[in-house]
Order: sequence, then structure tokens, then C-alpha cells
Amino acid sequence: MNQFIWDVTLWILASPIYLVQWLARLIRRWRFWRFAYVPATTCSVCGSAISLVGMWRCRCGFQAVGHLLRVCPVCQSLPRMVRCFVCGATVKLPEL
Amino acid sequence: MNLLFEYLFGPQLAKETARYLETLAEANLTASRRQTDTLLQSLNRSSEPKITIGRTLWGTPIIVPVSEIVKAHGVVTGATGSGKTRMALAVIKALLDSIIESLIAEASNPGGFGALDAKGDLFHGTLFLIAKHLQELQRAHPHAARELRRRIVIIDFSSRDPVTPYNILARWPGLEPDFFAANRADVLMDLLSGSDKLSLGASGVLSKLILLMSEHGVPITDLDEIVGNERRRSRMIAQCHDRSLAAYFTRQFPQVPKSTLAALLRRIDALFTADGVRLALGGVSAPNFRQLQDEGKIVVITTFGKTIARGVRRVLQKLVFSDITQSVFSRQKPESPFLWLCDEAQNFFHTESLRDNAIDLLTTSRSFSTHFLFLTQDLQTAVHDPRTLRVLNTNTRWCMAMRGDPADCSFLKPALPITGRRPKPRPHPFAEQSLYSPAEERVLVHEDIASLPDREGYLWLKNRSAEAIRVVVADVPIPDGNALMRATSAIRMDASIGGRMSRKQYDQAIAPRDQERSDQVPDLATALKQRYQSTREERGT
Repeated sequence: MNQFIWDVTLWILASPIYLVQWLARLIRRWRFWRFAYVPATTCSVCGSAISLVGMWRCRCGFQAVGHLLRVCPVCQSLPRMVRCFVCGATVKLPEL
Repeated sequence: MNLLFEYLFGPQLAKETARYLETLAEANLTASRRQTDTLLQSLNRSSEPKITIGRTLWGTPIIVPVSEIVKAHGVVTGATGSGKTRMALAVIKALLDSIIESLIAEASNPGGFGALDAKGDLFHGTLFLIAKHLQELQRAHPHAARELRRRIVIIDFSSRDPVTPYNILARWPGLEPDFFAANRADVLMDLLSGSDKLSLGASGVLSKLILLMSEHGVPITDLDEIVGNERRRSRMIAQCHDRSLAAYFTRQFPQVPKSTLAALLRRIDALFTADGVRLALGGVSAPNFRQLQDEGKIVVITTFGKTIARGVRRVLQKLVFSDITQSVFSRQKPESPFLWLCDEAQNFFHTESLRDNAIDLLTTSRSFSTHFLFLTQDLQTAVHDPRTLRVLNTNTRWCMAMRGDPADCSFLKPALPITGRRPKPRPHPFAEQSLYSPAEERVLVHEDIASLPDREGYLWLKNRSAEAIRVVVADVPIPDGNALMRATSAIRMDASIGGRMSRKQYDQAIAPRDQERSDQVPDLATALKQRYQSTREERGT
């Protein structure tokens, strides 16, 4: 019993931290999903549009048509960056 | 959550993906079209009169200022039936419109043009357009119609009535007789030379005969008589002002071998097999091309006729071209632009002297405001000399390649538009799809010129763009075949138009000359022959 009370007390005390963590995860995921459903982003260096849709090839060799931010069905990996076609700079993609 | 997002944004994303991939695939093509459209818009913004050449494959009309075409040399290559003549007629229609506009506004000399045709299509097409414009003008602006009629000059070697006098021995005004004779002899010897080339001696004899005949205004049709009739020749020598010429005919001419004279006469006689040609060459005067260009006339020339042999047609075409060449450099009003449209232009590059003429024209005629548009079937095949071909390609400011031998338009190769997306054939269904490289695709597009549809081609305005434009040539509403002949018969037969003479007027014009000839006392052999013939006729045998 004491143990249960102790756990509840600790959870209540920790709940603000959990809440912050949860909110942070929510924001991160929201950003990720938002990014995963827009067709283009902007290059932070030259300001030109970088298309996020098209034909992509995973490092494992799998090719797919669609959005860049999709998990590869073969190697289960997610792309981490995209290269601007105009200036050649890479833009970091949001992580899940 | 994934499902929710996929449901909400998935279709839009798929659409965006498809659109983006399509844009990527068409990127080169779109860039090329955008560049072409920008060029065409800039040309269209010009305030001067314009020519509608046709439209692009994506429907943008190709409208260029008249000066782009008239004040520059151009070449149109293509096989028979590919639409070269239609292209030339589109240019002629625009030029006529521009001239008529100036005539209505009573503006200063708008310049003129000439069409030199060796197979009839361009000649009849031009006459049809002129007749149509005259008919329309007659109703609305009779004064402009009268002025247009005055400007038209028709030279039809096949016509027996009306006749266009084209005495090739009539000296051009202000020209040295020796230069004229030497030039004419060179031209005739060059054009008439066949497999059995005439000797240098024959050329000299012809030159002297031309000098003698041109001094007395005798046409080339009388050459056999001058050579054969000693009495007439003696009389002409007696009246000759050139003492050295008289001395030549007195001392050296009798020594000329009979075989040389026979070969010379045989060659020249071949020219007179058609009545129309004989009448034209036997006339008392010749067109003054310098004056025609200075006055901005509309000159329509045909050397085609059912009775004119192919060889004679070519000789006449080259003879007229040679006369035009001489006239260009003596122009006195170079401010008035003039464009010559020359069909079957491959004939102008057959002999060395013709090639030299063409090079002269291409390199210097711009200074005299005369420009040429050559319509030719097989340029590379006709022009064996690479230097001439290079001069031609360098000095033409615009060119158009229609269906034909790809070798004839190799100059166009670097300017052919390519997409970069032409797929290579796949050896089997599992092979990865690959594309031709730009160089490979350029070669293929160049080879595809051999199978272009009718009235389609590549137009390259060299001073405006490094890339040619694929063009569908504008359709000029002109009937075909017999319908065209019927439509132009009225203007062809009308002696009052085109600076021609009716047969009656022609006979009257040459009558004094013939009278002078008949006044001469015939030699003994001729007199006996005439007496014999008249006696036979009297006895009715």
C-alpha cells in the first residue's frame, strides 16, 4: 500500500515533467507530420524551393515515387536530409 | 494518426508528386519553349510591317518583322513537295501587303522583290497573289491598284503572246562594250558547255561575234546568219566603229576552222527550240534589272514552259541570275531594299563562275540593299565546293530546313532543339529505361529531318537565337494544278500588265530590224535559191 501511495506521489510530482516531455514529443511529431505532407520546403541558404515530392532512391537501392519523408519498406530507414538543387546546400529534415 | 494524415493530405500530395515529376520530365522542353515564346514576343513587339511565317508546334504564331527577312540573305532547303514554295509564297504575300500598304499611304519607295522560278509553281503562285490583291485594290483604292500594276514586271520565256523581249546582246547602259561581250561570251560558254567542252578559241570567236552583234543591235537568234552570210557580215564590219574588231573579222575570222563554228552554232541553236524563248531572245531590248531594283518593281520571272527543254530552262535560269548579279553591283539607289526569291537555287552553284557570282552576291550585295532567298532541294549535293557552302552558311542570316536530306541541313545541327528526355528503345521489358544523351538526341533529331511532315520545318533566325524553332508553315490559300493555271491565265495573257508586248507590238518593234536585213542584197547562192523556190511555187510543183 505504502508502495502504491509512494508511486502515485512520485508520479504526481513527476507529472509536470511528463507533460513537458509529452508536449515536446507532440510538437516534434506535429512538425514531422506537417513536413511529411507539404510538397516543398525552402533552402535556408539560397531561399529557393526544394521539392519534397518526386522520385527518390533509398541508400538500400529501393526507388519510390511520392514524398521524401516515408519509411523505406525494405530497410526501414528515414532520410535525414535533402539537397538543394540550386545551391547544393543540404537541409536537415525533422526527425520522428 | 498516420491514416488520418494520409486521408487528409494524401491525394493532394500524390497530385503534387505527379505534377512535379511531369515538370521535371518536360523541364528542357519547357525552357526551350519559354525561350522561343520570349523571342517571338520580342519580334512581335516591333512596329514595322510583319510576316506571318507560321506557328510553333504548341500554337504560338511566328510573326517576324519584314526587315528580318527582306534585309538579309536566307536559305530554305527541302525536298520537292515539302513546302518550300508555300514558304516563299507566305513571304511574297507579306511583302505584297507591305508594298500595298505603302502605296495606299502614298509613302516613299517601299522596295520591291523578284521571284525567279524554274518550275512554274512560284511564278503562278505569285501571279495569283498579285491578281487577287489587284482585284481587291481595284474596288477600294483604284489609284494604288494603278500604281501596283505599273510596278509589276513579268518575264515569261514560255509565252508567245504576250512576249517579254530579252535580247541578251542588248548592252546594259553605261557599260564598256568589251567587258559586256567578254562577260556574255563567258556566261554563254560556261552555261552551254557539256561533255564535249568547247575550246578556248571558240570562246574567243563567240566573244568577237557578240561584240559585233551587240554594236549593231542584232539578237543572238541571228548568230547563224551572221556566221553563214558573208555579205551581211561584211556590211556589218564596214559599219563597225571598232577598228580592231573589223580587222579581226577581215583577217582572222576566215581562218577559224569550220568545225569550231559548227560546234558553236549547234550549242547556241539548242537555245531556240522553243518559240517563246526564240521570240524573247530575238527582241529588241532586255530588262534593265538595275533600274527594276532601284524603282522597287515586282519582278516575276519563269524559265519554265512545256516546250522548253530542261537544259534550256537551266541555261535561261542561270543567264537571268548572271544578269541579276551584274545589275546588283551597279545599283544607284541602294536605299530601296530588294529581295530576290530564287527557286531551284541549286542550279546557281553548278559551274565555277556561277559559284563565284553567288559568293560575290552573298558577301557584298548587302551593301547594295539587295538580298537573296535561295530555295533549294539539295544544297550539299549541288555545292561540291566546301568553301562556297561555308560562305553560304556564314552569310545567310536566317534559314529554314524542311523535309529533305539531313546532309543538306548539317549547318542546322548545332541549333536543333532537343528535350533531353528522348527514351532509348528497351531491349527487354525488365531493362531499366534510359535516355539518349543530348549529343545522341541531336543526331537523331537531325536524321528525323528526312521524315518531317509536309509544311513543317526548322526556322533558325541566327541573329536572334542560338536555337532553331520547329515551325508549321502558314497556309497561303492558293489553288493547285489546273485551277491555279486557270486563275492566273487572265493576268498571264494580259499584255498591258508586266511590261510585256503583245505579239502585234512585238512584230512592229522588230519590223525595222527585219526590214534592214531584207534590204540587203543577197549573195549569188541565196539569190539563185530564192529564184528557184519562187519559180517552183509559180508553177505549182
